[in-house]
Order: sequence, then structure tokens, then C-alpha cells
Amino acid sequence: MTENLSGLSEGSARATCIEEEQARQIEILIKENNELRKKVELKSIYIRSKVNQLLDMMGTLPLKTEELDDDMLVEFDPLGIISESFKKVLANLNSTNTKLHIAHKEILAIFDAADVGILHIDKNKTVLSHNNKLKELFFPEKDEGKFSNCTCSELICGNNLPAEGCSFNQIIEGKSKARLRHWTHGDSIFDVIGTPLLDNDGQVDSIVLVYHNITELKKVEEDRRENIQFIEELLKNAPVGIRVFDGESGRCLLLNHATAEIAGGDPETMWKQNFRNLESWKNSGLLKGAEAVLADGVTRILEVEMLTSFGRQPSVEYIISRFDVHKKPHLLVIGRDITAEKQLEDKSRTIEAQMLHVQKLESLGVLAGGIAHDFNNILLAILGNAELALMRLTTESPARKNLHQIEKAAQRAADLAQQMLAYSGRGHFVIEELDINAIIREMNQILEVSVSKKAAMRLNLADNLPFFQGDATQIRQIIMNLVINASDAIGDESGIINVKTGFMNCDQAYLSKIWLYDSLEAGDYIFFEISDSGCGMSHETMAKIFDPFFTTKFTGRGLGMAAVLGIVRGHRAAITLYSEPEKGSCFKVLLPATSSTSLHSDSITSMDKPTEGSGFILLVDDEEIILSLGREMLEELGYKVLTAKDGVEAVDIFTTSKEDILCVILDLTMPRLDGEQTYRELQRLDPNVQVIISSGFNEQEVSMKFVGKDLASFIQKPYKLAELSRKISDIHR
Amino acid sequence: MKSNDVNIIEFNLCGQICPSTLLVALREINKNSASLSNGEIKLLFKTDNRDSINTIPETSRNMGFRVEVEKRGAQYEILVSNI
Repeated sequence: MTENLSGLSEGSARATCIEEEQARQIEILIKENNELRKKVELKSIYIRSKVNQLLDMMGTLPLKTEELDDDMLVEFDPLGIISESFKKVLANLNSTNTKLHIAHKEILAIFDAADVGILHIDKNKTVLSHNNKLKELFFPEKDEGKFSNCTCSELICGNNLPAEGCSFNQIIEGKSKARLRHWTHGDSIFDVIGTPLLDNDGQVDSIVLVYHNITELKKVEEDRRENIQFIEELLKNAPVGIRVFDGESGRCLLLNHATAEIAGGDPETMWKQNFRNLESWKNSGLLKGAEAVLADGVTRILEVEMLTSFGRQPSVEYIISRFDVHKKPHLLVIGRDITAEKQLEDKSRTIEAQMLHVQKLESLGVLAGGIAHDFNNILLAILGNAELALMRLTTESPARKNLHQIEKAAQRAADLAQQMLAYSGRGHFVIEELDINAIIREMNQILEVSVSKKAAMRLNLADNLPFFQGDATQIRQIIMNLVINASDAIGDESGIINVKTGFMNCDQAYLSKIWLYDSLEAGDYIFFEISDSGCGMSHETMAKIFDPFFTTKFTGRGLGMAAVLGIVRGHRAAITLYSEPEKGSCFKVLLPATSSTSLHSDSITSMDKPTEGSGFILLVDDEEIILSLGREMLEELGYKVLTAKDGVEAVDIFTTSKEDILCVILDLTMPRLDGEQTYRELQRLDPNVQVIISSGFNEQEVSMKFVGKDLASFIQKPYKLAELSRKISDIHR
Repeated sequence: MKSNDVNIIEFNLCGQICPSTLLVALREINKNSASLSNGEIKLLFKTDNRDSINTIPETSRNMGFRVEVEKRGAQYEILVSNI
């Protein structure tokens, strides 16, 4: 038991020991736990303080315990979050720094590469930095070291500082950008821009000045302005119209004064025009041409007659071409007003045609006149010989009848020759002052019986017409020819022939429009007009109607209208013709009105009886037959005759026998020395020589050659004995 | 929420104040930074705490993101996206 008790006490003691040990262990654990708690608490405090420190850096409030307890502080890991964020901030800053570094290098490169001078100054205008260009512009020779810390005015402006002070003071005062235009420094001109750089407080910290050298630009601008002025003057004074349109929109981009003058419009209106909307361009074909030029770029020259938007009707020559500006097509239209040129051209064409016509008539007239002249020489021999033969034959001679027939036939031939002379304008004229109404009234009866019975003659004669100078017989011939033709044109139908007279003042413009015009002078004219309601004429017929030997009549000789024209021209008159097929024709003859007295009156048909004479007469003619006949005729009249076959011989005879020679009958057309030259020689030998010119041409033409030369008389071939006698008698009366 | 093929992830931070709002916003930005950077997503934080419209945008911008702040009624919307 003791053993048991001792065992129990030993067991109890061991148990006590264990409990004590456990208590000690617990105490240690509690102590350790408290220490640990304290450590954790300290760590939380540390973490929280660090978190708050970081949050403070971020500019926000510290973490409150109630927001995030210690357990959550670990779990939420704000340090981790913030450090991760800072990592990103740092990365972003690094990236930004890199970019800034690159940007800085770029700015430096730009700074030095810029073609403008750049100057960086502080608010006291002390130079901070500048680029190479600025040095090159203002102080290329200066040493960099010598101008550190100097002001911009010392460095650049020098004595060139404006009197009112630096223009850029306003930048500092106004804190805004400022600009100085056209600042002159030496020979150079600058545009200067100053830009303030502000600090964080918005105050001017420094200024960047940019100097742009515009000297060349100004010169280019000046040149450009001069060029523009030159072009403007060129356009203004150009004698041709110049206009430019936008090829796409059709809008007018440019026009000069001449363009407006051609169109007859005002430039303001024309500036607003679009060539595609212009009726004048459409109607004249100009639009079609312009579009073609725009399409293929080939320059075209168009000559158009157009009615412009302003009512003018010019003839214009246009040169249209295309040119491109910035790849956009433009239309250049150069116009030249050729209205006057065209009119002149038309006039020249008309004059040329008239000249050709006149030349044709002239040459035909020369031919007809030449034939008539020669005819008259021959007829003089026939008629003179016939007359002499009749005088020498007894009244019972059976040959008298034949001689009369010869005389009659020769007279008809002489009449034909007269018509040819009339056509040539060299007919025999008996010029006197005439009243056209009187001539027509005298002729009325004969005209009425001459025309077709179905044609009604109507006279429409103006009162109080002035006289005109002319040959009544030839005027009658014109009237008769025209009335007969009018009657023939009416034919078997009923119709009217109207004979009208009147007075008109013709200016040169009117006369120039007359087709058969031959340099007539402007002035007062009387006219007679013969119109009919007959078949009229085609243009072809009208063109040939005055040609000799042209006829539309079956039995016509074709000399009637040719003679009319010849007489008209011989009278320095004009004839107009208007005709339409199936409607009728109208001839109008214009004669120069005059109130002067008649020149003189003469007649081939004078049938006075020959008177006996005496003395020597020198007969000069290159025709042997004329000399022979003349001698006989003169001897028949009782004169003694000396003959010469040309002028030279005549002068020789006159030199030796001038005292005995009563008068000289002188032919006009001769070899060696013609009538005119011979007359001059004879007058030189004897200023009082009496000369009768004998010619197959008419007196008027001959008179013109001997104006002021004291010609005694004129006798036209063929002449009769009585007329020869009278002429010789007259000069000795 | 999708806008022009970009996902916008919304976070409602109303009722919270700084710095909790900032920490939450930063945690989400960090978590989604890759997608944010390549433009796949945008983060929209709604808050009624006035301090947050300064702290979140400033930190976000410093991290290299673009931030737009818009007031909608009593709330603010802070949209964070790539630049």
C-alpha cells in the first residue's frame, strides 16, 4: 500500500509537475502571442503609414481604419496596387521623357534648319539662344562668345531701333503675340513675329522672335505687280479683244476693253457672262468651235458674222485656243473686229467688178470707135464722090438714080457708124441745155404708136425740173430704145409702161452703189425712169444686157442697149437697172442737172447750099482717097488746093506757103506727126493759122484735145459739100 | 457596354470616398492595363465623391492614359482609355 501510497504521491507529484510545466508553457505561449500580436499590429501600422505616405504623394487623404481594417489591409493589398500604379507612372514618365528628348532634338534641328532667324530672349530681352540663320542674317562676322548676355537690341537693332522704342514691348505688356511688318534692316526687309512663352503663373517668362527675310519676296512681289500692271496695260491697250473663260464652268475670268467694244456692251455685264449661255455664240457657231477647241486642244480661227448680246452686228475673226492652269482647261478667245475690212473688201470687190466691166466696155468702145472712124473715112469717099457725081451729071442722066441709091445706102451705113460711135461714147454730140419733160412730151405720140397696142403708156413727169446738158437726139434714142424694149417685154399680154421723171440729190455713197457708175460726181441729178410690167430679166440677162451684140430678140442686132450705155457714158450720166423675172423691169437714167447755157450747137445734117470761095486751102489727110475727094470738093467750091499726106509734109508746105493759105483742113489721126502735133507746129509758124479739124470721131472728143488752142472749127466725117462750104465760110466771116 | 466596338467596363464607386475610390480605380486599371493600352476596352468609373474626379484622372493621366470627366446629375463619370 505504501508502495501504493508512495506510488500515489509520486504520481501526484508528477502530475503537479506536468501541470506546472503546462502552465509555464501556456504563459510562454501567451507571451509569445502578445509579442506576435504586437508585431502584427506594428506591421499593419507600418503598412498603413506607407500606404498613406504614397496616397499623400498622390494628393489624396490617408486610409482610415474603418475603411480598411488590418486584415483587409493585407488582403486588399493597397501597397501592391499603388506600387503597380507607380510602376506604370514611371514607365509612362520614361516614355514621355524619351519622346521629349526626341522632340527636343527635332526642335533643335528645326531651329537650325529653319530658313528664318529665330531668337529666344528673356523678359529683359537678354539673348538666351538663337539659330544659325539669325547669325547669318544679322551678325555673320561676330564671335559667338562676345555677345553672350547682351540684349537683342544690342545684337540686332543697334542704331536701327525705332524712335518709339522696341515694337515687342507690347508682348511683355500684353502677353500676346505681336507682329512687325516690313521692318527694314540695312538693305533687307523683314517680317518679325514675337511669341511670348508664359510660366506656370501665366507671366511672360521669355519671348521667341522669328525674323523672316522677305527682301526677295518683296522684290518678286514688286516684279509680279509690275508684270501684272504690264499685262493689264497690254490688255487695256490691245487692239484686239482678249477674253478668257473657265473651260469647265464656262465662267468669264478675264476680258479687256476691246472685247466690250466689239460686242458693243459694258464690261460689267460681260464679266458675268458664261460662254455656254450666250445666244450669240450658239447662233454664230462660235460655241461649237469653242467646245471643239476645249475637246482636242487644237487652235481654231473662225470668221463669224454675229448679233451680239448687246445688239451689235460685227464681223469678227476669232482665234480660239486652250491653255491649262493647274490641269484645268481654259479658253482663250482673241477677237478682231473685221467689219470695216469686210465692208472695204466688199466695196473693193464691187469696184473691181465695176472696173472690169468698165474696162470691157472701154475696150469694146475703142474697137467700135475705131471701126466707126475708119468707116466714116470710107463713107466720106462714097458720099463725097456720089455727091460730086450727082452735081456733074445732067438731070436726065439715068445714073442719078443709082447715085441716089448709093448715097442712101452710104447714109444708112453712116447711121450705123453713128450708133457704134454712140456705144463707144464718141458719138456726135450736139450739146445743148435740155428739158427732159419737153423731150418726153414731144416723143409721146411717136412712143404710143411704137409700142404694143396692149401696152398702156403712162407719163408721170415731175414739175419744175432743172435743165441738163445733152444731145437731144441721143436722149431721144435712149428713151425710144428703152420704151421699145419695155413694149417687147410686155409682148402680147396687157401691161403698163410707166415713164417717170424727177430730181434727186445724189451723194457719193448712192452713186457708188450704182452698178454702171463711172466716177460720177456727187450733186443734183435729174432722172427719167422707164418701167414695165413685162416678163422681166434673169440675173444672167441683166449682166449681159449692155454688151454689144447681146440680144434676146429674134431679129435684134444687140446694139440698142449698148448704144444706150454709150450715150449715157458720153453724157457723164448713170443708168440703174432693176428687174425681176415675171414682174417687170425698171431703167433709171440719171443726168447731171445744170442751169448753165449750152456749149454750142452743131449739126451734121445741115443742108445749106454750098457757097463759092477762093484762095488756097491746105488739105492734110493720110488717106489718099480722102485727099483726092477733098481736093475735088474744094475745087468744086472754087478753092485752090494744096494736099499733104501727113503732118510733116503739111508743116513743110505751110512753111513755104503760109502767106497764101486761107485755112488748113487737118485730119486728126495720121502717122509721123498726128493732127494735134501738126496743129501745134502750124501755130508756132503762124499763131493766126485757121485750122478745121476733120475726123471720124466726134467733136466733143476732139474739142477736149484742143481746149484753149484757138481751133477754128471742126467737121465730122463723112461730110457733105454744103457743110464743108459753110465751115470754111464761117471761119472767114 | 459597347461603344464603337470597344468594350466599356463600368464600375460604380458611388458611396465610397477617396482614397478607397482611387485604390479601387487603380486596382482595375492595373488589372486591365494591357487591354486598356491596346484600346480593346475603356473603363468607366461612376462616383459621387468630388475628390475622386481629381485624384483618379491625375493618376490615370500620369500612367499614360486618356481621361475624360463628365458630370451626370449628382454623379461624375470618369472614362479612362488609351491615348
